[in-house]
Order: sequence, then C-alpha cells, then structure tokens
Amino acid sequence: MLLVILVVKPIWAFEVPGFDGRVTDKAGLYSREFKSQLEEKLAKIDAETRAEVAVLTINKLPDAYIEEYAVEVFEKWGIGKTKEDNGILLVIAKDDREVRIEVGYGLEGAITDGRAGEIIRNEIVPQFKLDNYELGTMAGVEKIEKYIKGEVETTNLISNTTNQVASFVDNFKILTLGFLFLTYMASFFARTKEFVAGGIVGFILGIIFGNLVVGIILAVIGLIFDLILSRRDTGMDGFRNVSNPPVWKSNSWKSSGWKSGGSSGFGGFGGGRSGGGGASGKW
Amino acid sequence: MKKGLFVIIGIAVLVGLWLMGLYNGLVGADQEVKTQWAKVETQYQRRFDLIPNLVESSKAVLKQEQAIIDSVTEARTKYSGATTVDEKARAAGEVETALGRLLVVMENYPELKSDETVQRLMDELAGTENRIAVERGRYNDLVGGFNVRVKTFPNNVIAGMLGFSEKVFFESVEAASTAPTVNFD
Repeated sequence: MLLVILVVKPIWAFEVPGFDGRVTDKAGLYSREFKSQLEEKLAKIDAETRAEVAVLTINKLPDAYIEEYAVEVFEKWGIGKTKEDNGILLVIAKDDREVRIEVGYGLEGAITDGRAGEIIRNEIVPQFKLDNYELGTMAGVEKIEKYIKGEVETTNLISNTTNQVASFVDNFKILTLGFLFLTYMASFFARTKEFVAGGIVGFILGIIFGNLVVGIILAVIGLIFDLILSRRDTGMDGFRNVSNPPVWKSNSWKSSGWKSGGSSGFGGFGGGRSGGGGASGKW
Repeated sequence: MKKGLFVIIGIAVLVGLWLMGLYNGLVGADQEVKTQWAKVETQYQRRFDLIPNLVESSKAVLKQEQAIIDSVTEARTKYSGATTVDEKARAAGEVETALGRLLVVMENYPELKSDETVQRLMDELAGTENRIAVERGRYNDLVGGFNVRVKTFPNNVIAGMLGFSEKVFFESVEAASTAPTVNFD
C-alpha cells in the first residue's frame, strides 16, 4: 500500500502552500476582522452561485512566473466544483508587487481574460498602489462576484479524469478487486497444498489490471494467502471477515487530506481545474 | 495431472485477459492524448480569432510597424492552411514569434496602453498564450505517460503488434527558435 502511494505521489516543481481556508494570508496583508469578513463573503458567493473563490497572499514568488505559480496552486488546491471547474484564485505576491486572477475552465465565459485584466487594472492595482490591500482585494472580489452572477450558463463540458487522485483511486480499486478475486480463488488453492500458484495468479492479475508494481504487491499478497490457506487447509473459514475491505471513496480521501488547518468549517475545495485562463498585473 | 491442466487453462485465460486489458488501456491513453491535443488546438484557434481584432484596433497607431503587422498576418494565414498536427505546430510557432514581437513593439506606444479596447485584447492574447503553455505542458505530460506505458516491459513486446507506437513531444517555441532558420526566398 505504502509503495503505491509513493509511486503515484505528484511531483511539483516548487513548494505550494496548503490553504488555511478560502483566504490564505501568508503575507499578512489583512487584519483578523477583514479576513473573516472576506471569508464570509466568499462563502456567500459559493452558497449563491456554487463558484469557489480563493484568495492567497504570499511574500515572494518561488522561482517561477506568477502564471505558473497560480496554475500550480489552483491544481493542487482543486478550486471549484469537480466537473464544473468553477473556481477563481486571486494570488497576491507582496514583494514582487504582482497580482493574478486565475480562472477555472468553467468560468472562462463569465470572467474572460479581458475582464480579469480590467478588474486588476481598475479595481485592485489603484488601491494596492496606495497600500490599501484590504480595499483592493474586496473591490476585486466584488467585481468578480458581479461577473459570475451575470453569467447565465455556467455548465462546462471540459472534463478531465486523468489526474493523480484518479490514478491513485484506480490503483486502489485494482488492489481491492484483486483482493476479492484472490479470496474467491483461495478456496480452490487451499486444497492444492502448494503455495506458489497463489503468487503467480496474483502477479498476473496485477499486470492485467495495472502495472508491474501492483502485480508484485498482489503476488506477495497471493503468496501469503495461499501459503496460509495451504498450511491450514481449512478452506475459507478464516478469511470471511477479511474479504470485505472498506469501500473506497475518492472524495473522502481528498477532503480528509485537506482538513488540516481548515477554519470556520471550511472542508476544502471541490477539485476544479484551470487551464491557465485569467490575467496578471503589477502595481 | 488434471489439476495441472486446470492451471494451464487458467493461465491461458489470464494471459488473454491481460492482452485485453493492455489493449483497452492503451486505447484509453491514446484517446486522452488526442483529447489534450484538441485542447491545445482550441487555444490556437482562439489566438487565431483574436489576431484580426488586435491588428484592426491598433493599426492606426502602429503605422510605422507595418512590417511586423504583416508578418503576424502572414503567419496567421499559414496556420489556417496547415492540416497535419506537425504543420499546425510549426505554423503556430511562427504565429507565436511574430505575435511576440508585435506585443513587445506595442509596449512602446503609450496611446495603445491607455486604450481600454487594446488593453483588453492584449489581456486576452496574454491569457491565450498562457493557456497554450499550460495545455501544451499537460499534453507533453500525457505523451510522457503514454510513452512509458508503450515502452516498458512487458507492454513493449505487445504494444507494437497492437499498433501503438511512441508519441512525439511538443517542443516549445523557445527550443525551436534556437535552431538557425535559413530563408531562400
């Protein structure tokens, strides 16, 4: 199991911070009151339009363009609902004096790059120039809200199932399936008194459904199973209870992974994606 | 003896299942790569559609830069004539280079920077360029995954027979433009 997790762990080019909620203020631009006010506002937008808007402030960009950084954060956090991809990420890099609005696939119609640029130029930058970070952020978010609400249709047909989470879940399904199948076959192998066959079957099963790693894991499981069963020669008796592993849900894994540090009951973003839409600006 | 026969039949069935799984998996992966390429092309098309607007709204100011505008328009025409993936990729590279030059030149005209329409168009173009970079990066990731699948043992033995071969990465324009280009016209 551990091996599988390690194999499919995504590799990021740079460190992406975890989120504290809808607002993640790493640069400390906001007062406590403003932060909770902003979070409330964003929660309200979510409740009214299903769109997930996130704000991230950082001191300094890692060795990357703000465009690359924003899309990476967006992907990792999964802003927006799955399939709808209706997320927005506002990134503010304080020392670089750069700001970006990253738009998820599903909101590209509501917030075009031109509109995103206009929000940055007309709402955010003028305030940021005067060090009014709170005012600028709120003005930007309010304008974003207006554009989202003006959008009639928010459905989006671009769906993508090929992310790391999906492949992890797939691998797990393979394991579960192989596990069940093995248990089923165990009744046959238990009578053979040999234990190698179980290993071979496990290995082949793994290769059918996935890759070599899964094959080897299943081979080991199969070997152990058949070994125990052949030794005891008791058929299925000892294994009835084991053959029912918990049902695996992609959502439960994802949200529990993100729960750490969540504030005011915010359970995590929905798993939306972005394709690099939006606009950037400097102040 | 009887048991041995069972095992052999069992293994034959499993090998058959493995082939089926392999084939279906490769078909799926192949389709994913194609879908991702379609996304790249969507962004190319978007860029293609934006260019006339940008040229139209800035040409009055950019009278001195007719040569650059022409090169953008020419590259765009070439792209519209391209049919294969390879041709399209090459033509798109030319559009990218010409457009990049135009955008740099436009920075020098304050009257364009204060024009809201031009600004919006430039945002749209910048956004499109970024999308192209993102989708192209994802395309390459998928191609990488696909190639690993096709080339690793034991898939590599069978994949060729099933008609799957290694796919080519999409190289960025930066890499392409470092190669010297010779023009004989």
